[in-house]
Amino acid sequence: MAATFPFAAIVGQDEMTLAIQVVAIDPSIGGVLVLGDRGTGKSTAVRALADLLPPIKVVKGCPYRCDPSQPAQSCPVCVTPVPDKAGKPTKLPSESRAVGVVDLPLGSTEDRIVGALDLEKALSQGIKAFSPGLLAQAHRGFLYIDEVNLLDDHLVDLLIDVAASGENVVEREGLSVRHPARFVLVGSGNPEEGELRPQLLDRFGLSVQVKTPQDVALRVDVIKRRDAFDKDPVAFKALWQNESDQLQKRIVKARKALDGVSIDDDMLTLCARLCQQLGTDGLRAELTLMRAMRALAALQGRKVVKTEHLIAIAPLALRHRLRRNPLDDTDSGQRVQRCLQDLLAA
Amino acid sequence: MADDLKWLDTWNDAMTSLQLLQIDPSGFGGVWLKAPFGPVRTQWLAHLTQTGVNTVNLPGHVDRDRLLGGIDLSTTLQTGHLHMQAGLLAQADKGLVCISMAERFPAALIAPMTQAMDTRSLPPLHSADHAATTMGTAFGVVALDESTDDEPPLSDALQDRLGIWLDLRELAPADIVGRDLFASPASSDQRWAPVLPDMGLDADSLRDIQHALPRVQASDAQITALCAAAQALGIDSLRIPSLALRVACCHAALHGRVALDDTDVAFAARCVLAPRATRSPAAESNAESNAEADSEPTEEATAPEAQTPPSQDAPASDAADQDPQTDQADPQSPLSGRFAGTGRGRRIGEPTE
Repeated sequence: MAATFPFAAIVGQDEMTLAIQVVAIDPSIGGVLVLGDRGTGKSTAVRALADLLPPIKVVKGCPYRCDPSQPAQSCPVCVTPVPDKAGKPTKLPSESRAVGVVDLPLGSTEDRIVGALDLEKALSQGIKAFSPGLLAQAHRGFLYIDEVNLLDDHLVDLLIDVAASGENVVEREGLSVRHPARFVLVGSGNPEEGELRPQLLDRFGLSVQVKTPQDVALRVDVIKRRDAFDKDPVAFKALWQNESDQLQKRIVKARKALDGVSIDDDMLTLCARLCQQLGTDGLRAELTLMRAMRALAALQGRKVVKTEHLIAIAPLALRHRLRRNPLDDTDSGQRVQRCLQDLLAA
Repeated sequence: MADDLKWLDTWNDAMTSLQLLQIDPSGFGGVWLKAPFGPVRTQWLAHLTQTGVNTVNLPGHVDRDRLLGGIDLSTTLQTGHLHMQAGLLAQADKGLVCISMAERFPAALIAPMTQAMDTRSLPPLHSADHAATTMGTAFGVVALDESTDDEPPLSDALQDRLGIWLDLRELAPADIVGRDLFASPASSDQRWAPVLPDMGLDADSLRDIQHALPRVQASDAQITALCAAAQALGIDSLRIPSLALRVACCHAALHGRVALDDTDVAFAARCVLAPRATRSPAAESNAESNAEADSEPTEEATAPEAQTPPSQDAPASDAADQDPQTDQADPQSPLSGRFAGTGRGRRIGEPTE
């Protein structure tokens, strides 16, 4: 297994690393979209995401990584636990597995993504069986699409549908299978090369814009670390193991603390007014904003969400939800910040 | 005359690139070779074959299963059991993938290929087996690009990952044939069937160089020079200075150095950074002393070091003794035209033993 660049060793790109950590704490925020030029470390950061995530408990032998405490209704493998004679539900055998961060390359075919007929069984035993695809692997984990803006339309449709329903329904090659597929979408791309369809854009909770750092010292630092990693990935990873472990502990701690973080009504009103002012469609913006602020507060070990959290999160949660203003071509993140400043000053 | 020497330099760099590919095929991504089909490209490829690096040729019509691996249909049907076969990218492990007409290579195949280059691994062959792990593979890419100016070139994603960019479009066969004649003045009837000087490294020296490569040290000033040069040339991607550093280290290892010197940095600047320049550093001359300092950082870094410590020259000449192909003319300015002394002429055709 090839080693990935450790998350803790990523230099700069604070907004991107913050967004990824926030989503790792609360996957219900709904994924991250990272837009930026080539060679800014987008894929490196996303692939390093696995570093942050503690292993999860899954039902033993279930290809869909069902949660043993509540297997998905639609899982064809894990039958819902039947209560035994004493009335207690029988326990499913479980095992610990790393959270999946599944790479979906641009050229993936539909059968690779949704799954297809299992040829081995079909040929050797004459059985019609389903061979799960990338969506199954991504259940309870992350699905990473590099160059998401160049993805074929029919695949975008497929992903939007599955991301919305949390279920992959396969009706092809004579198969009729449904299985759970709840995953967090993470996308990256270069906006100059193509637009993203608004429906897909909306599926991402947070959006980040990355730029190449212009500070030479920072760039030198990046190059040095990359060089050290390329020369000896294992040693470099070992060097950063301590930091990685600590980062993972922080995430685990923040996840536990998440429920204890409170948001007062004033803050929610402020969020609502901000979204209203910016004219974001629907209530998804407010919900995402609220969850992301809570996760950030938990990450910082705070019990209450403060204005500083809103200032940090608002551009990430709202920038991709603004209506495009043909007369105003300022960066959408700046527009969010400007509006927020106005509201706070009022 | 100056023009001739310019082509000679270009060809020299192309030959040095071959040796670097032989030393570290996957380290700096590979080579984007812009050249039409013709004697020049053919000769470069012939030299590539001579180096003996495991090279897998990818035709444009290769399918996904063959590229990444998939079911071995005939064996599977024969035996009734599923048999998988490794794909071409797995076969190219520790070697090279050579894509002909790379500019026409389908984007759907470029994507998994760049992913494999980034992660140095391939997805498991058997997707149904959830316990399957990925397969490690590290390969470099030689992308042969025949596009003309009005055609779309090689995909951006691949361009960005290939360290060395060579443009041999302007090179005439006479330029390189002249080179060979220069090396071994043969009778004129041999002009069109020149004996190829062996540019490859022999097994022993190759092993030594590869062994030494991870230990090549770059100073902070040199890394900063590469980063500043990239920035001054308007290269935003941080992958590029990284690749330039790898190329420089490889160049140093080729010449038996344990620390980078100006020749190496200059070579990287010439073959990795300069072809990607999106702006001329001079164009930015808005009296900003900073920009001025950045504009030719490799030269700036070269000048003082090349002159002051005499010890810098000693290892270089040592290396020259060890390796007859030592690039002696290189310490001159990295980007501008240079003279080619007898040393360069000697180097050109001299076969390695």
